[in-house]
Amino acid sequence: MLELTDLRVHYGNVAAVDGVSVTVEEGEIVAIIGPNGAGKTSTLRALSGLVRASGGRVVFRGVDISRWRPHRIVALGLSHAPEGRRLFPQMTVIENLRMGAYRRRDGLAIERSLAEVLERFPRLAERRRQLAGTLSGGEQQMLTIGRALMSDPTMLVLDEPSFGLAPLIVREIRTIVESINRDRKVAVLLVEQNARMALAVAARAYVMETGRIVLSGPAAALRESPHVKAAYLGG
Amino acid sequence: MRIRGGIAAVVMMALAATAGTTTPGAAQDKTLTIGVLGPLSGGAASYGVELVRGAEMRAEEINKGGGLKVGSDVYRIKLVSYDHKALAADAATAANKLVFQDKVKYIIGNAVGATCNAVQTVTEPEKVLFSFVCWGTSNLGPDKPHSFRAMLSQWEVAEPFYRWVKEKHPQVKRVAAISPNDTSGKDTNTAVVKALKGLGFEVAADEYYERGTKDFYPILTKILATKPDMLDVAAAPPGEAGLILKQARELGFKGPKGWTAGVNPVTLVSIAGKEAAEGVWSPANINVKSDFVSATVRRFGEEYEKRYKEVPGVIAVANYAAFDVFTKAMQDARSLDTDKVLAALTQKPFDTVWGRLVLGGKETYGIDRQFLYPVVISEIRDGKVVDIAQVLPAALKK
Amino acid sequence: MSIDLLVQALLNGFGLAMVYVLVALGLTLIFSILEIINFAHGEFYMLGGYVTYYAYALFGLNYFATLGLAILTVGLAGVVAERLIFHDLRGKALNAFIVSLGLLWVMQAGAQLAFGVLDKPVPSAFSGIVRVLGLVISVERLVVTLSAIVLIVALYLFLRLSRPGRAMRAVAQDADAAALQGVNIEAVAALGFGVGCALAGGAGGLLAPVFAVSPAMGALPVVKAFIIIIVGGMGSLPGAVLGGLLLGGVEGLGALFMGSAAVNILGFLMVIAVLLVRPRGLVGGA
Repeated sequence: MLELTDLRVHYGNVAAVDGVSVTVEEGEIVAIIGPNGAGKTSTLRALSGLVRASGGRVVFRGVDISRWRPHRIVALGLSHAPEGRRLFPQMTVIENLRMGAYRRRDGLAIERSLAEVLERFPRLAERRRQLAGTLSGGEQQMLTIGRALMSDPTMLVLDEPSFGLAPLIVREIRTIVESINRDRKVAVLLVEQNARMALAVAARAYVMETGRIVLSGPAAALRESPHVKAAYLGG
Repeated sequence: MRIRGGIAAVVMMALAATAGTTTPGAAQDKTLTIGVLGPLSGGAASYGVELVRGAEMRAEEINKGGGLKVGSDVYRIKLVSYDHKALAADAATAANKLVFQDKVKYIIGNAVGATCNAVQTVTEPEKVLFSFVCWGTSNLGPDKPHSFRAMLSQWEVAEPFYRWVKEKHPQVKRVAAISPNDTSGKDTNTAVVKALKGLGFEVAADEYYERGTKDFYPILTKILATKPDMLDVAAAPPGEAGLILKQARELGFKGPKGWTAGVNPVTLVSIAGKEAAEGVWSPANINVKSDFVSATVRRFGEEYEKRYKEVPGVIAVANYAAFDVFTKAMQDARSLDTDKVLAALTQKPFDTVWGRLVLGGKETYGIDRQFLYPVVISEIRDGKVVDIAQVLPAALKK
Repeated sequence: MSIDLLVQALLNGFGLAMVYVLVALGLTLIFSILEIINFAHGEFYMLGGYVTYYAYALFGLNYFATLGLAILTVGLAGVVAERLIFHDLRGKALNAFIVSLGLLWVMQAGAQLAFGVLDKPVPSAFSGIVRVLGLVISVERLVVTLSAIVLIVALYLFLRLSRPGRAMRAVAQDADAAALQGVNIEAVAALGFGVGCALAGGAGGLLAPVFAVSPAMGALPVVKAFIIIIVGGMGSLPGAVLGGLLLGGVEGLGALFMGSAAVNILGFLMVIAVLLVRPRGLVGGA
């Protein structure tokens, strides 16, 4: 469904992403783990069109979207919940969710999606009239995921959904990701520094360090890898 | 690169060839370059435009008539004009350009008080004869023997104007004056206040606004609260005077209106609208089409309108006359030497488009450098300027 | 000094404030969406004035139709300017500063060539005055102020309720996030620049009959707009309205007690005071 081939991203002369190849199959949850600064976020920004890749190809649903601008990629069914939540702080919860459905014109279906998201995130339903900037960290993350769902995507890209959240909330997020994948058959590409959580959710995973993929395989196998154990799972 | 060099060489040769063929012809006619300064853009642009056109018309008449004969030489007149945007700094720069780069000995035409002072810092030390239509006492004086005012100023017109108001409109007791907040504005209001007090009027308000103001409601509210019988938009340029009168009318002012130092009533009427401009008296306006003006002024007006599709204001006439006076003085002096022309200027009256014109003003300025000619008082009636009286400046009566 | 006079002075100050608020809103809209300050904003105001001069004063089109025409024409000119000049400068404040200064000179010089340097009068569409309790209000200014308020409300509704309006607000708050929701940033930038310029054009159209039009007419409203924005807070619509009322009130009262030169610096004193006490502006958000 998604195929990154030899993707490269440069900022000036510095290569942030240096030949990364990743595939995600239909309905699959795939994780990319790695330390801060490994190029994970740059990879995602390139695949959703926020930065122009300096090399390689991005193919989504059989279409080469390497040179597309973000709004067209969203319309094709790829929804990206970015690092740092990036909500619209001066808009209410509801307005944020409606922004997620910006490309859609089917009014009734949008209302159905909205009801569905509010049902999935009861906390958001309680705070529907509140400005997004005033929500707690966990609520903001839920709103980010909820907003990403509003475009009715076939694939969800989540960048550090657990960042800065308490363990209890991280577990909640994990459950939500799993249920989305299960109920809606949405493929998920999950980027995380929290390797323990990522490897628990994903079927397959990639380990990315200094712009390259250094390890990949089924999540269960990676959990047993000495390198992963030493570097990411705290021994 | 080589090709371009080749083209340049060809152009140079062509230029050299044409220059070669025209030089002998040009030797017969010498060129006399005369400078014109003025605001050619911005709110006072109409002044500059009239200055240039007035000069242009006289210069072309002279050139068409075979050039200016000074002694045994014949000169073709060439005008060089610069825009100083009514800014003193730009005026100094422009004057420097005229004097040191274009080497002019005569600058005939400039407007807006502060710029005159700036130009004089260049012209006086260089003995360049400088004629202008700026108002203000500081522009004329024994320390500035090479400077001339080619138009009646508020000092010449305020007193006769208000004497006429007092005689013909005795109901006017309290007068409010408003001018721009600069040298020419201050001078005008001062002259108006002096005339008012001398004639026994009450001064209701003596106010100033910043040039470029568009909204006069605040200042007018303050002025109208003093309940003046008459409002004098003294030294306001036509655009701003028009806005003041329009807005004064909107605020309910219905009394007589004056424009002591007003020029270019056509612009005033267009900005103020016919109703708000109705009845404005001015001792400095003229209607070049009225029966009242001399036949020469009327002819000038017709010629001007034919050329520029606009009716000339007093500045165009004044600079045309100034050009006439200076070139005549050159002929009288039989020289272009500025000292000799200066002597010729103060010797005798000139016969000009205004009629008889003398240089006077010693009582006010300490030196006879002010052009004096009859004051015409006009009134705006139904959007048109109608001349209604002629009075002589105090100095001219003697 | 009577109360009447004080109230009249305040009314004078408020009289045209809403028009300057329109200019300020255009400027701040463009800033929020493109993160650039368009120093040629006043020239779009001037363009609106000339549209009014030609359509209304010369051609005799209806006053309100002319206003609509001025808004559309100048808005279109804004879109063209964005596509040709500013679209690569989004977020590059310094480059945009230099380029927009250049545009300012080009447009002013162009206007001088095309329209002439002299003030062009535009006849008043409404004459007469209303007297209420000893106060004088000109009908023309009343219409102008009401029209400006209608336009401000229309802008508010457009930003709140319409799809492109929501997109503009989203881009203003977080451009990347907006792009990830499917907002076409380039189209919104062009449209936002156009709407910003259209507001200036509308203001120019409204004030053309009150004053007169000239190539340099854009300088004054832009200075006022900057004061309004800094006082009210960049990017805030209620802030701009509040800033406009404050500036109008201070100038109106100031004219009563001080000379006109002093009044002109009051606005700047207000800016300094606000910057010292509350640099974000009175209603400025984070």
